[in-house]
Parts: sequence; C-alpha cells; structure tokens
Amino acid sequence: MALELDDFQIITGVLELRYPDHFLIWDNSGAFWQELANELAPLKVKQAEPNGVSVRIDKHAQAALGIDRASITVTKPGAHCERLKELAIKIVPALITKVKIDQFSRIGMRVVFEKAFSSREEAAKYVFENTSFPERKDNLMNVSGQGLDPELGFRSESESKGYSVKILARQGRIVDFNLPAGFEQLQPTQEELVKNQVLIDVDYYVHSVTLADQVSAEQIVDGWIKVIRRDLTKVING
Amino acid sequence: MADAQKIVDLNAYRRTTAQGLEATSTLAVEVTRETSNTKLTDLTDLYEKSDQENDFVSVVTSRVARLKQQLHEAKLGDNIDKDDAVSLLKAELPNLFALDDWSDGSSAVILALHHSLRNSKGIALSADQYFAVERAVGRLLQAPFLSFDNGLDVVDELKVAGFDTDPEEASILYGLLNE
Repeated sequence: MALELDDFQIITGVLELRYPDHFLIWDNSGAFWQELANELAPLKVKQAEPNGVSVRIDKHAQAALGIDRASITVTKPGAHCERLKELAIKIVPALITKVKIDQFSRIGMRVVFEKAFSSREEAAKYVFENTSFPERKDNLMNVSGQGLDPELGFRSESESKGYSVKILARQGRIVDFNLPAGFEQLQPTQEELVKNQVLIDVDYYVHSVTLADQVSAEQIVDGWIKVIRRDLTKVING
Repeated sequence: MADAQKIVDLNAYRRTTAQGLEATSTLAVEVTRETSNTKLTDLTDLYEKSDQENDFVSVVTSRVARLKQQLHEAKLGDNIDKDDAVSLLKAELPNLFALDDWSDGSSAVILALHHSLRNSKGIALSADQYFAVERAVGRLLQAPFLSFDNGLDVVDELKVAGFDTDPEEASILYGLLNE
C-alpha cells in the first residue's frame, strides 16, 4: 500500500529565515514589531529577551525575531498554507527593511501533516504498512510484540537545497481543554481527549546564501508548498 | 620521526579554568550540522518554474537571462553588435515592466533603463554607459526583488554613467517649474 497525502491535513506551517548573527536587532527590533503591530494588530508579547522576542499574532499564529533567525509559525494554516503566506507577505519585507537583513544563510519551510486514528495500534500499523520502515524482528534490542509509536526520518541535501522528512505515529493528549462555567456537562472524557495520529513532518530548505533582494515570501510559500505536495508521497513511497 | 616527537601533550588539548585543568578535551574535530555554505542561491533554487511561459520566474530566468547574455556577448563584438543588443533590450523593457511581480526597486530600475535608452535617441552608448546598462540588467536577473533603496543605487549608477533616467516630459516640467 502507498501513502496518500489527500488523507492528511496540514496542522502546522512554519517559515524560518536564518541569517548570520545580526546585532542590529537590538536597535531595530522595536521598529520591526511596531510596523507589524500597525498591520496585524493586536499583537501580544509572549517572551522578550535581549536575544529574541516572540509575539502572538492571533490564536493560530505567532512570530519570533532572534539574533540569528526569524520565524512565523501558524497552526491550521490551510491546505496550501494560505494563512502562512498572508503573514509572510507582511513579516518578511519588514524583516528586510526594518531589521536591515541583507542576506539569509538558510530559508526553510516546515509543514506538519496529520492523519487521525481511533487507536494507537492502528496509527502504528499505518506507518509500518505504508512506509519503507525496516522489517522488524521480535526481541531485537529486547523489544517485542506489536510495535508502537514508530518513527522514521531521513534527509537529503544538494549544494543549495535540501529536505528532511519524519514520519511518526504517536498518542497525544489535549491538555488545555477548558470549558466555560456552566458547560461542565460537555466536558469530554479522558479517552476523548486522547489523540492517536500519524504525523509527517517535512522541512524543505535552501541553505546557500540568499540575498534579501532575491526573496519574495509570497512566491516562496506558494511554490514550496506546491513542491512538497507534488513530491512528498514520491519521496516516501519511492 | 624520533620517539620523543610522538609523545603528545594531552594538556595542550585541555581548557584551562580558574580551578585548574578541565577534564574535557577537544581531541576530536567537532562536527556540527551548520556548515558555512558560501554558494550564492540561484533563482531556480528558490522558485519553482511553472509550465506557463509567462510565469514571472520563467520570464526572469529566460528572457532577462537572454538579454543579459546578448549584452555580454556583444561587448566583445563591434558597435553594430552592441547596438543590436541594446535595441533588443529597448524593445523588451516595456514588456518586462508590465509583469506584476517586480518589487518597487526593480520596477524603478526597468523604468530608468527605459528612459535612459529613449533619451539617448539612438546615439551609440559609451563604454561606461554600456557597462552600466549590462550591470543593471545583471542586477535584475540576480535579484528581481530589489528593495527600493537598492534599486535607486542602480539608477544612480546609470546617472553616473551619463544617462538621463527621467522621462523626456519631466525635463519640460522641470523647466516650467524653474522659470
């Protein structure tokens, strides 16, 4: 059986831009965040330290600016990372003009796909059956029985570009589920708060020197998500 | 090699701290995932070319690259070759300007090139002017999303080479305003 990406939905999209240590962030960080606050108000500061500030843009999005990297993280970014693109169009140009980054050492886009399962065993079985997971033999490394929570990862790189893919089955628990007062009867059971999922975590990146004048955030997000959607199953299925 | 020379002083590999020698050593070369890659990113590494011929990246990587190549090759030829290459560029500039995805800086460069060549009224370019034009086209090819400030730097280079980068009509307007 081969893995089908149509069965998965994107739960997280991240655009990360790395640059050589840029000391001007200590001078220009305020101007950068103020410009974004004007465009994306209201912003809420999550963490502020000399070497980095992270800000919550809304319930599903946050951005961070550090001494050597900046990132935009969006949960539920849309099937083609539309929300990530919307934010990148505003944040990346501000990074270039306000923080005065003139070159990037690495630009990466990380996308996490998810497929939900009713049990931990089913999720594990899906990974074993749909990927080139190495054949498992009982008692190797003293592990026996049906394998649970398998994880398979690999990376491939050329001089300029690269990708890494990680496929894993896992059981997670929703921890911040709070109902307003008066609605306690709707509280789900502990079993209902458990999530059994298979995740495909893809990191696609350019790691050669990219001039700021070469960067169009819109075209990068648009183009890269197309590449990921087009080639990911071929990468996994061979 | 004498046996004495084979003796390695391990302390030379240990860091000295205020408390004395630290146990850690750096006998093995440290390997990190972060490598210092100095290769410059090519546009085709960053952007996926689509099947459509009029796609922005396809235009930049094919038509602008061809113009740049023609300017470069003609540089080694005679004045007629240079004139041909410049004429081709002149004809192509309005089509390039019509593309949506140029940044403000790149649009300013295309506009300045257009007016520079129009204002030169067919007179053969000097070596400096030809070099400035080739350089400006090369900049568009390498970095099509020039910031406005960087775009103005390229426009300034055209001005320094002796071009009038403003539209002809603007000089009439300046004249009227200065009267």
